[in-house]
Amino acid sequence: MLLYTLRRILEFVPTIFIALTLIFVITRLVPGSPITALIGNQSVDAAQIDAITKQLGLDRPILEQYLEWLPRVVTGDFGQSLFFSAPVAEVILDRFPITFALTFMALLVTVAVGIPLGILSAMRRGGILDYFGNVLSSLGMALPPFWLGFMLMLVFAVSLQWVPASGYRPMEFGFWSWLSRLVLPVLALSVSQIGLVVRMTRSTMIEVLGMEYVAMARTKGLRERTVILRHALRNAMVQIVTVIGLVFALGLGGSVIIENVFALPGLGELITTAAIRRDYPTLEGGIFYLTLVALVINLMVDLAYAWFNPRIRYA
Amino acid sequence: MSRQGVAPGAGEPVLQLEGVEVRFPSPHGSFAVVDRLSLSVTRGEILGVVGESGCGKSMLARSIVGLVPPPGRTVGGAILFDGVDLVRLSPDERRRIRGDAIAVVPQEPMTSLNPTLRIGDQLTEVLRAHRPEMSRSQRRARALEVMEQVGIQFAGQRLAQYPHELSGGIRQRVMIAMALICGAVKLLIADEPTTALDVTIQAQILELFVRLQSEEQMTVILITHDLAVVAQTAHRVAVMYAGCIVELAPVLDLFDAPLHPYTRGLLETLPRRGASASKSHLATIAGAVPDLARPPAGCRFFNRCPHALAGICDAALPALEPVADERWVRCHRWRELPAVAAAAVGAAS
Repeated sequence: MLLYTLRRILEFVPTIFIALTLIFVITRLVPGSPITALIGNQSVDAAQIDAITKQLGLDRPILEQYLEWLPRVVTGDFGQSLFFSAPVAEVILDRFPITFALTFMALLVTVAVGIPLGILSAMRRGGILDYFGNVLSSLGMALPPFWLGFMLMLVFAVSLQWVPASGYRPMEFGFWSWLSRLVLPVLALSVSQIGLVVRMTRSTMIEVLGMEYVAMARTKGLRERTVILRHALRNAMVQIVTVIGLVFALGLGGSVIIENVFALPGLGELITTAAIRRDYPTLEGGIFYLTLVALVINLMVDLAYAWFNPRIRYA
Repeated sequence: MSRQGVAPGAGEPVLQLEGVEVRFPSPHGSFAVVDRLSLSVTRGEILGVVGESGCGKSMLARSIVGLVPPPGRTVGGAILFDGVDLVRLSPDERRRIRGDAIAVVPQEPMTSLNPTLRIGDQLTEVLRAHRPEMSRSQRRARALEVMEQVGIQFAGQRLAQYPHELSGGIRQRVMIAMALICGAVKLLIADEPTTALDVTIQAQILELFVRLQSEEQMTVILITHDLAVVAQTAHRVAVMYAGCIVELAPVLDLFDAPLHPYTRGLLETLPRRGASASKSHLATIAGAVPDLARPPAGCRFFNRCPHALAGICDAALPALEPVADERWVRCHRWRELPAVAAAAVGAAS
């Protein structure tokens, strides 16, 4: 298992290299330049623009820029943000806890609701619960999270006034104060994820429940709970875990929209503004950070996969 | 192979099936895969149940343990196990009997073992379900003991292994150990236990069955489509066809003088030693089992029987009638059928 883990981590190296290169190229392919965005409506003469361009190193050939950039970035140094007058790493670490709280809580809700609902649907296939589970999960997947976010805001923040509509407050101001501003974004993000997880859990459980070892577990006189949780779910988890990893990665993407809807100053919101302002260092750093998180999630999925499925540990 | 244990017919019945009926719903109305079947299994015997695929053998086994897969159901009859009607028990009471007093050895040891659990966990969980008072170390000790009994070497090592690390023969021994681990098995149902194994392993496993049967004084129902397996191990044979028993006889009598045309057909399909090379094609029984959704009014074997007589055989379902001591047959014409054919088949086998 240790060897397997090491090998998986080693496989990160080329992935990270490719990701970094893509990040560099794509940010630079976007039309416009940070300078025009920096200047805004001020009237500035050409000499000043030249000076800034030189200062940022944007006058040099792109390959040269890349070769200077890559070794620096690998050490985690993305430079100064063009707008926050702070190191990019600092800006990101400031924002990341919010995004992490949002996506991680959404994942917890998704797993806590989706997997049991999927199992029950599979056990009572064709029953009422299965029927409603099906309808609701299709609906959940069909609703765009941003729209759902606005609707939740309308109902729970505007009409019922149970929770604030938007914004963020750090936990230092009290746990409820922090949590109440995350409830709606978490819900908006998890609803579509739940739909996906319910469907995957249901279909894999149905498949696994038809396996002979499940029939054998019953023949051995095991309790139905043991049969379902120990024999069926354990095997189904191999596939469910893959979906959970996918859901988390999708959630990171979805958080970009949700953070904008709920005015949460998270990583997604940071990346959006950085993109609009052509704040290259911040943009690159933000995307790279998300890439790293996605890679770590992937690694965790692979390890969980190996843990649930002994046959691949030795492969 | 010697056959110790109790002579067939002696002793009291451990399992009595009375009019057991297993039905499945279908768009054309429900059909019976086991049709009002009555059978008595004597304590200490090995009863072979033979028949083609789809004749209801496996469903009979599942009905006995109370695990007919839905939407199928055991709709009628009584299953008396040690005098208690299993059909009337609650699901939990039936669960307590499964894996303890009645155990099953499945056909496919590979797919019947959970690929994600260690062998040790799969063995000891039977004890956890049925002997909650046992400690972890007691369970482990018992697992080692029973693995030794079924001839698994390096048992301690095996406990930590996963099913994919074991050979087919060992896996089937694990399944047998699983059936015996509670130490109280009275009835062992082996559903095609050797079908998935190669021939040398098959012989070893059958030998193990015979040994364990006399060691543990248990009753075995051996379900198979392989008459050779029955010949090697069983005391008595029930031949099933389309959900019914068509012939029931002590094993030697059945092979010496089969009465039912279906039994005769089955025996003829066995490859014979010494048959000349030019004529070495295998015999078959033409046709297939009738559609159970619309069972024929007469004999179920009518459409495939070489001796069928229109007007008699297709008029009414023949009854399972006693022929001699311990011999039963379900055929309108068993008296008239040429004894010569029977003798020829008997000599060849």
